Amino acid sequence: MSWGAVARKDFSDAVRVRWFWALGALFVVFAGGGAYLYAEFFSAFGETTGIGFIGFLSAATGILVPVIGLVLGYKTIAGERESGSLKLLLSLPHTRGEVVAGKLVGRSAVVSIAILVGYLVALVVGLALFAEFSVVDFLTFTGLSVLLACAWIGISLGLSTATGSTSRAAVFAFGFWLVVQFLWDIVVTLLVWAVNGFSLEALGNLPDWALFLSVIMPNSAFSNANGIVADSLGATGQSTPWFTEPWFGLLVLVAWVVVPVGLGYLRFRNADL
Amino acid sequence: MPAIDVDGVTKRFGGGVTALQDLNLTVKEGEIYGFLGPNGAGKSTTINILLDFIRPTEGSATVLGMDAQADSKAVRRRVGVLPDAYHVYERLTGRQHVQFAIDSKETGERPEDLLNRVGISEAADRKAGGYSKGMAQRLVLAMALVGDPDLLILDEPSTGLDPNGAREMRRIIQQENDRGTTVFFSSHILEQVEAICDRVGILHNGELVAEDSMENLRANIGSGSTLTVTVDEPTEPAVEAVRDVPGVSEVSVDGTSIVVVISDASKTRILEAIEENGCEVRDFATEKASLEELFATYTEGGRDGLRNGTTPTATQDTTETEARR
Repeated sequence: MSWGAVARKDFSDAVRVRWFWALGALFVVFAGGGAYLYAEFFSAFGETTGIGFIGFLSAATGILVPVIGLVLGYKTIAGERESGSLKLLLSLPHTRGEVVAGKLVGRSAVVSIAILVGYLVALVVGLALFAEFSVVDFLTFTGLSVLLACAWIGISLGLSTATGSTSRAAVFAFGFWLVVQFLWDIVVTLLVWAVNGFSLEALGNLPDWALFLSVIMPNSAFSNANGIVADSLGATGQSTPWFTEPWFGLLVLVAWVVVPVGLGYLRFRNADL
Repeated sequence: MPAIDVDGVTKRFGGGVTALQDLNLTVKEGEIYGFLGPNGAGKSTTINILLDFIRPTEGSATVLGMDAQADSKAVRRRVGVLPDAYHVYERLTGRQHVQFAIDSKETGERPEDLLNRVGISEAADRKAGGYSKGMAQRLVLAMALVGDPDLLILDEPSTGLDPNGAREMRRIIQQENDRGTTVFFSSHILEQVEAICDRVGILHNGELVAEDSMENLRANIGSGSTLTVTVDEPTEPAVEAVRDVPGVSEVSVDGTSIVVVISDASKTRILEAIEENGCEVRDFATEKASLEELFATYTEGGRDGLRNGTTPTATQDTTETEARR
């Protein structure tokens, strides 16, 4: 498989960077250390459970993983285009689509391995220290975290593929992150406010369309998908329409892996390099 | 079936820049074709179209009988490429680069064999980021040779190579050609093309101004060299004597130098003629007909027109010109 060769090359290139090891260490400290802290502090308030820990780790994952996904992805295609190494890559028998697919797989593998190593340490710590801990639940959560990472790789790779310039890709990636992380809920709230004739009353209970707008963001999708592990981790609230179900969150995450890359590819396919 | 067939290709970039204008070009199977032109003539644009890095505005191209655009992957499976303005993967070793090319072409060769052929096997396990430009050039050539391609497309293969490296590059090109590989390479240095090409195409401002065998080209530009002789003091009899040497087409005086344009004459006889007429020869240098003069021949109606407009101060030998690149 042609994209396999690209993915292997990209992976072996990426793991030679010092920050790859720093990334692994970061996840070990973050997840393993998090498990230890959770066991230390929360044992004072009651029984330490796997689900409790996952809830604790999930919030932190939602902050750390997107940043890492963006940093890992924004240079992929644009950087190779700028430096000219893309010419080496495309002098060999790969289609542009295979190059993009290979990059997606290679980069996703890099971030997945870092996450797996860190969360495996957390698993060991949890088994040792928690009163109750389900390995299956935690592995499911690990899988979802990997999927979230891949979604953010997809976003940054898509931008990198579409723009062809690392500085532009970086600006777009950072802008997108700002919107998703901080601004989106405000935008949705403002929309509801505006649609309801600038009345504050409607804000107490969001209409379904506003709720839909908020669940299609990758991080909301991630937290809703956590409902697979336990109902208490998924969407809660007065209104829980079908699109707040875990399966839909999972679908949205997969879409974030594939759709931005696909759109980026459509621009890249016909670009003059 | 021609190895490369470019048919009426025009390429306009955004901003109205026309890089190629109705280019027609045919490279026959088994030949070494030199694609000659100054920087900015459109050589790389042409090669980029053959590799589907860019798309023509009009016209089409086939490589080894396959459409350069529609069947690009199949084309690149059978072609070895040394692109221009490439960049190696700094963190990967030479061996990993070649291995990647082998994996990509699924040929199962051994990286050592290829690195050996280009003479950098001793650097196989060093990261390519630490390679000199010349070593990187050899490395990419090794990648191009993977899978014994039917056609080699080399964009300015001597860039960054010292005279020895350039000679070695020519040797490898010749050797591949002897094995039946068609070679298409671009250069802006006449001597490199002259040394090994069967046929030459000259590109100027996006148009092919000449396409000919090397012999015919040579006949058109003469043996093409300028001999600059520095003397203590040029005398009229010495200049006259040089003018009488058979095969000298033009003599002029520039300060303490006698500048002789030779079409086909012995250097020794010219020097003798000068010394016999009371001038002491202090230094002399030969300059081959430059690419600029060659273009002048084809585009402006004669190298003399250009020659008269410039003072021949450049006297370095061609190998030095090569070395400084």
